[in-house]
Amino acid sequence: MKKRYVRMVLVVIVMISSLSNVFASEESDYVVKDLTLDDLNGKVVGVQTGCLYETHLLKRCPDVNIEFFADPSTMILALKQGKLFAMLTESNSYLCERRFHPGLKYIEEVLEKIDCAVMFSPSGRQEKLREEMNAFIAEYINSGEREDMEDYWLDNSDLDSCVVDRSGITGENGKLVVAVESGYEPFSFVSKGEVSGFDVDFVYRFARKYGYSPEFYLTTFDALSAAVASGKADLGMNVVLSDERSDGAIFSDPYNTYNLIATVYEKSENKESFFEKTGNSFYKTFVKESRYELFLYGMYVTLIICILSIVIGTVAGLLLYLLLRERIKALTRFTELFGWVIHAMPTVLFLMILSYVVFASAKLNGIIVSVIGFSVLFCFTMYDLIVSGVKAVGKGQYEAARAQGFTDKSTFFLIQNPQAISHFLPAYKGEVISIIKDSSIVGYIAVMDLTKISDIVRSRTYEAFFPLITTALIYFLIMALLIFAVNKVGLPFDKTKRKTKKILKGIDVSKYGDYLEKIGKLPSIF
Amino acid sequence: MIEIIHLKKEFQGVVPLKDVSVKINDGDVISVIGPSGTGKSTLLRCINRLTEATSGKILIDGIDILDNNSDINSLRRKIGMVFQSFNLYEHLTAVENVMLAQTKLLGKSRQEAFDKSMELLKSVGMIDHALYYPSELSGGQKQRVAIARTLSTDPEIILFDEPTSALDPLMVSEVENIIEKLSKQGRTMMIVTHSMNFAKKISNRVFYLDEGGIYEDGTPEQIFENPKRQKTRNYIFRLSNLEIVMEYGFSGLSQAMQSISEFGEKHKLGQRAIFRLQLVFEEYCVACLMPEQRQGETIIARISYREEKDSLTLNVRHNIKGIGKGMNDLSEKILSSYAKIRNENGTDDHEICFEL
Repeated sequence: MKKRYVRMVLVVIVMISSLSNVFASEESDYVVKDLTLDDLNGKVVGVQTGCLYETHLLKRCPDVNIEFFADPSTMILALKQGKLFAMLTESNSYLCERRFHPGLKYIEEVLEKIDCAVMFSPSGRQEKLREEMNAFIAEYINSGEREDMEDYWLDNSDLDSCVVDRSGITGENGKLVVAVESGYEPFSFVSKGEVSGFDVDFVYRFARKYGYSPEFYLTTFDALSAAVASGKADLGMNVVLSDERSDGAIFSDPYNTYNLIATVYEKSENKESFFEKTGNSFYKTFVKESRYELFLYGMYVTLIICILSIVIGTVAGLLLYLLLRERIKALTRFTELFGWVIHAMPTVLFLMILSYVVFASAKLNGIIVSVIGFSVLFCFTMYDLIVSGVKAVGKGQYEAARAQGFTDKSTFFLIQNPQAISHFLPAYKGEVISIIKDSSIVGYIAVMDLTKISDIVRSRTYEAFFPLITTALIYFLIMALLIFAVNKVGLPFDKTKRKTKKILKGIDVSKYGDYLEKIGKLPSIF
Repeated sequence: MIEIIHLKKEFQGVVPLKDVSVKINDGDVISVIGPSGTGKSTLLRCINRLTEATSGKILIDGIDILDNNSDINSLRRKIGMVFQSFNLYEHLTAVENVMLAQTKLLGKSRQEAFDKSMELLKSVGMIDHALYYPSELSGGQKQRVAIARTLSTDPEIILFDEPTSALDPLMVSEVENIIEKLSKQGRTMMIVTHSMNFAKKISNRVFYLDEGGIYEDGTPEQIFENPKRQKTRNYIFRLSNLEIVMEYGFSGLSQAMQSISEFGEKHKLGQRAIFRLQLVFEEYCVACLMPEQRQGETIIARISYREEKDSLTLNVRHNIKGIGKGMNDLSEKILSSYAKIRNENGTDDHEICFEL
């Protein structure tokens, strides 16, 4: 019954969405005729972070106000809402964006021609790779392969039908880790659960020829050069050449050139009703290319990171506390200082240091690095919680237990900990929530968690509202789930809520019936 | 038997126990009394090592418990302790408080432990409250449960650290009655207390702690009726003293008069009493004794006020040779009109007491 209902909704949504895919066709319709780049002066213009386009813009229009955005979809949303007058985009990306937002028009004058190259990691084989890459690029340009590729990827209005030829990879010369931006149509993006696009095709062609087996490291532009420089990846694709950048890094010859243009938004008459719009968004966000699978994967990653970090962190915090109970002063002071330093740092910085500095050379999976990072954070949080909880129990009960002959450890487990837990459980729940929230930054070290998946999907649909709201809802669900679990686990420790039956488990109290009944606490079976 | 040998405890900058050596026999019920800060609790806590002694030995049945090689946890089972602040395990009911050490330390079954706990709770009159949490009990009830908990491991020695100090006056007697009952069962007990009547009633031995050690050790009769040493007397009789020492050629007379008047004001003796005190002091010490004083001879005047009985005495000791009482008939007449003159040592005239 339920299934049929869901299916019917899907069918309706598909029908609505197919109706709405009607585009204007003439290229000249998209040119804004009465605007030039000079008109951008004094206006607010959106630029994507990490691309260095702002320098070109400032050269041409010195009075422009620049606002930075992490991804094109939020930038387009701002443009549509009128917060931006215009935004900078590459000509190729513009074509992709236009598919979903027919109201996007561009100023004909080109701001700059942008050269993009491959960046190499200083891993020892960079010179060899660069020679091979430069030779490949030269041949690629001369042989006409470039025109084919550009025809196929860049001028194609239906990216969903494009596929990368992944055959013929021998890998005899080893693995090649390639960092690409995860949501950058038409160069690199996630389609049908796989990374695809112009750059991916390019890398496969190169790898086929030189006997490498490529592996893709999905990241953002602002973290891409750090990933390559630290050796997490061997290559970084589509890096804009600039004087500053070529100083410290090794680049290939440019393999791709595109125009940097400014786009504005002209409101077209929108005939879609709210329901159609929502249905359409739902279809694009979840149904198309089975993107719900991506969301499920993201949820799974977020859950795995959170649950593992919370469990490991809790146990490690407890062990740390037990270790420091031995009253080794220097160790305690060191731990407190270390915990303080870690907690004082923004979590994203801590995670990036962990990934790009501490574990830079170890080719650890990003999920493992995240779990390590959050476990360490949670471990120190847990330590602090136990310390404060035990303090709240007071010294008297500790002394009473020691005086009876309990050891330090059994005093902790029998007397202090059961009470400390109910003291710190509310704070613990808060920490669980903050770990779930903090886990949304793992995208910075190329982990496909829920937030990152939402970014990737947004980079395909060029819509912000629907994916953001649904992602928020999913986070809420995860939070509710974990808090429910914590409550379930924590409940038995709330001793004051025990039933009389449980207190007297396994004890024959029949001869004390008179006394116990008198206090009215026992069920009537006595 | 507990034998304490040269026990010393030093906190940062303070030495409450300088050198304590004492033997405690099996079955002794000892009240430990003394002003605050004299190390009464510290002494008790050193015996079960809740406080680590700085140096010395404590032998219990020949085993030095301060030796780090001895198994302190099993030794502690022989020594029960009752605290001023009860220290019940807040997350457990009364009966579970009594059961815990039995099941976890003595390895008894839950049923055995429960039966014994109920028996103990009954003996302290708390069986009706077996399933109450400590937070649901009054102070006196908590302390009774705490006593039952202490008894649950059958300790050979029980230490009571001011068991009634934190209680409402109305609840003191319910706890004292239980301790009194226990004191008649032949257990070795040490009780730090401020209540002398209670100490008199239950103990066969009293330690008065002062000056960093056991200042006076005796039976309750000795300590409470006839304490030998000055500080004990001061404490027991709530005495306060003013001592004026006059060497040969004493010149601080006006200062002495001033301090007598201050002493009187401090204890609210009233102007008449102060005047009489000054008069007696002047007449006897200054007019009678001082003219006879020679090189190397000393007069010591001690003014004592015993708050408990509201009695004021002037006690004068001297070592002036060959003057008998040292007062002529006129002086004696004047003095006896102000005070009752008592010769302290009978035959010897070197100590005279004036009761004002």
